Amino acid sequence: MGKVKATIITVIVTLIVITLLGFTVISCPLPGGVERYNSILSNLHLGSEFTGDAYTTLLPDGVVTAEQYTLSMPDSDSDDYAEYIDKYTQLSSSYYIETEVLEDISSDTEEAISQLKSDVQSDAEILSKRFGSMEYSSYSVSVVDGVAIKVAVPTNFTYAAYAGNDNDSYTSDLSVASTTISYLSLGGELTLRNTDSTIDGIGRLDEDYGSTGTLLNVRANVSDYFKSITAYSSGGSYAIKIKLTSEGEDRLYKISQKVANSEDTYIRFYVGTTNVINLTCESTIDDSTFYIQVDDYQTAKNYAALLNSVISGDTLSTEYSFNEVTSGTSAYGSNTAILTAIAVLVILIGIAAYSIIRYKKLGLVLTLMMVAFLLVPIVAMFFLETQLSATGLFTLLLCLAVFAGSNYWSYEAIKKEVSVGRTVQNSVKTGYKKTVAGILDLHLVLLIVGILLTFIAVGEASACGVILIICSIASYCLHWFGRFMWYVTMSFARSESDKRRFFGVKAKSFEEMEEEYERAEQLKKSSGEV
Amino acid sequence: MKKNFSFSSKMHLFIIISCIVVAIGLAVGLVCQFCADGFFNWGGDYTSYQSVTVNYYDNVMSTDDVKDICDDAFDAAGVSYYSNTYADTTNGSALEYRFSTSQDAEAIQSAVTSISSQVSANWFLGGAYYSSAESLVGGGETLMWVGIALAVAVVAQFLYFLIRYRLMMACAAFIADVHNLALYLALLAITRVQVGSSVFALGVFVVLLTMVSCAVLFDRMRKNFKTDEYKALPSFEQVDKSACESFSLITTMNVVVAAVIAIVMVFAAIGALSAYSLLMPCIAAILAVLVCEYGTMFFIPSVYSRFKLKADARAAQKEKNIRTGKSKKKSAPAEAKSKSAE
Repeated sequence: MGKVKATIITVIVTLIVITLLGFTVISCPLPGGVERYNSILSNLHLGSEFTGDAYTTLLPDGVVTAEQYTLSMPDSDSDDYAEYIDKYTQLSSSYYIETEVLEDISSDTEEAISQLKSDVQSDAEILSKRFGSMEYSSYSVSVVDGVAIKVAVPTNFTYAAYAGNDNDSYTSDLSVASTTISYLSLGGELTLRNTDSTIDGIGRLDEDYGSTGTLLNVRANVSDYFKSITAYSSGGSYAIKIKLTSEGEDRLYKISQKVANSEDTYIRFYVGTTNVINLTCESTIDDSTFYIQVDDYQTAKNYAALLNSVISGDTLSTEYSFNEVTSGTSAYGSNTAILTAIAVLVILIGIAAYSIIRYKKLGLVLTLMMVAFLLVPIVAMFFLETQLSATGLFTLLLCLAVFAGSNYWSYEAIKKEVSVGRTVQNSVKTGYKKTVAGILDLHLVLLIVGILLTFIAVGEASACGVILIICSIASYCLHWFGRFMWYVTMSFARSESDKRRFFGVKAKSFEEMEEEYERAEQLKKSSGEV
Repeated sequence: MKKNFSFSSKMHLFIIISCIVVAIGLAVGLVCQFCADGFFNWGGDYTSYQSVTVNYYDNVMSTDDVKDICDDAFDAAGVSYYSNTYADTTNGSALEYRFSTSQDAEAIQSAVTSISSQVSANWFLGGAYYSSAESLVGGGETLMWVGIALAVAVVAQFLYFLIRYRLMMACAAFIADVHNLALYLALLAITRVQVGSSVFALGVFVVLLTMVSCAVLFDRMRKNFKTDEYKALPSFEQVDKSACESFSLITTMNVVVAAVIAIVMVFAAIGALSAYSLLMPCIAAILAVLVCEYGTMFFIPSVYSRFKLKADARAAQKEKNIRTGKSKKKSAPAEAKSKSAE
């Protein structure tokens, strides 16, 4: 390749990588001072290790926090003070309960508190199962003082949102977490309802249930009718997929026949007193599986997790309320994300320094390829909206080690070839040829594991699978692109000694080679004698 | 690594070591399952914790001032927290401190009284509240799917090695995956490292690292076994020499991975309030790398050498049969000719 052509290619590739790096890493305010450019990296959704949790405390009916109790407390001089004190019973240093609610449970206070604690414990177990089915990278459900339930889910914030540079994203992510918690903490059983009182067999219209009556017999067990309810997505459409049992199929056929001919053509799915979702029923349903369309996948997952739990008989014993969903800083410190980014930078600089010291100018080419390699998964994860958790980051670093390792493997093979006296050009060809099978195997194994993790596992492991797929393909392609760049950049070196200097290797002198040959001959002879 | 280190001759030692570790792990895990906190230490202190929530208004008192008040109060009470989070609420700001269950509850409560009086003196809604919490261990469904995915991945690797390498190499790689995972889980059970849900991730990590190391190890063996120099050597020596050659590459890879983990952990520890909270995941990750190094570099070559010995013996027998068969076939027409001549 000619020097001019090589220069143009080198400059173009370097410029592309640097420009992409700039867009990926650098965030800056835009002229005018109102808008701000948030880099691709700062727009990646991060796990709770980096951006903390969104959490709230669910309070059973009648329970208030000590803060609320203090806030509403009248002055000690006022007439209402004594009444207020009587109105509440202290459960712990942080919680109070309305005495009336406690008396409804049992006339004996201790027994009532013990019953409340037992109900809260079993409800927490149900909630843990519900949140477990949401495929979060991490979540926690804890019983606080035995009388309240603290729920924490990942905020899924981007770094820009976490650092206060993207308020829209912050509000939207927090709202998603809040919506999920409010749906999953709904108490009560599943009922199918309708507002048309003329339907044959409909229950009494109840104002607590939005003036609807139940379409199923009150004694009916919904688990006899529903097999499973799952979230479904296909080509940008989202729905919940409802599978019925044969008994449910018959029952829903009859109900849908009646509803389709009534004034209100909705079958309304209620959990407790909350209308969760409506099924438009313009004709009869005669299939064992049907879908109800929703706006987005998160909503589908919320409905599916709640309804699936309820049809399995896991209903909460009481209604829970919460003040607000709050986002806290990371438990490992508020600057975990930025310090981890610095750590990755240190690792990258370390690998680059090692490469440059060991392989001279070729090390620079490898560094350029490494930067390009890291940009690929970052950009891909940004477009796929994949969450980067600590495990995902370690997967990414493992892939970086594989990428650097496979290049070193080839370089060492080439060095070996040069050291036995071959020309650099010939050595490159032979060295790559010798290592291609091993490197291909390595990448194929990673790719297979990645595909399996993506499609079989869920949550964090599935995200790691996506990273593995992207990285193994990027690593293999960039390995060969690195080979091409070597060919391009080596064009600047004309003589054989320049080429050797390019990647920091000396050819063995004639005497050294002769010595080595003699040693090998002797070894052969001695093994022959044995 | 010595160039002539004999892995093959130490197979029994490696098997005994692995069996002992797995057996102890199983015993410790089972005892803990029925008598203590479960087969693994599912977060231990962190699943049950004590917390102090401090509510304040940051226009009246800065967060740093509140933190100073809290730190002084906790020091005076002789208690120390392992994590601290800050949050903005509609009523102001909140700081939450978490303490392990081993900390004295009464001492924490005395600190709470002191903090509360100082914070509420500045703002009437300010205050500090003590509570104790017990987290539920969840994620069973996630664990199941990750387990299924891993099992399928191991089988897929076996099939891939079967096609690309040899049956015995595929078997050895399969054993390596299972051995390393079992050893790792046993070590987690023995050391009672608090791993929480990250145990899934580390399990995947162990299998991945084993697969990568096996690909490097068996690729070297496959290449070496084809050369005349190796063909002249006995089976054990072929395996030992190839393993020694791969040792530096695999060990370097494991050391690099360990160094990467250490660097990330060091930087995370700078930002963390308590380095102790990072110690457990760090130990678990280092254990994973050690298991991969031992399993892939010591255990598997020694086991594979036996497989190779048998495979070579079988191949030699086959070749002998073919040769004798051919010579019989060759001699048969000659005998017939001589008979007809007679």
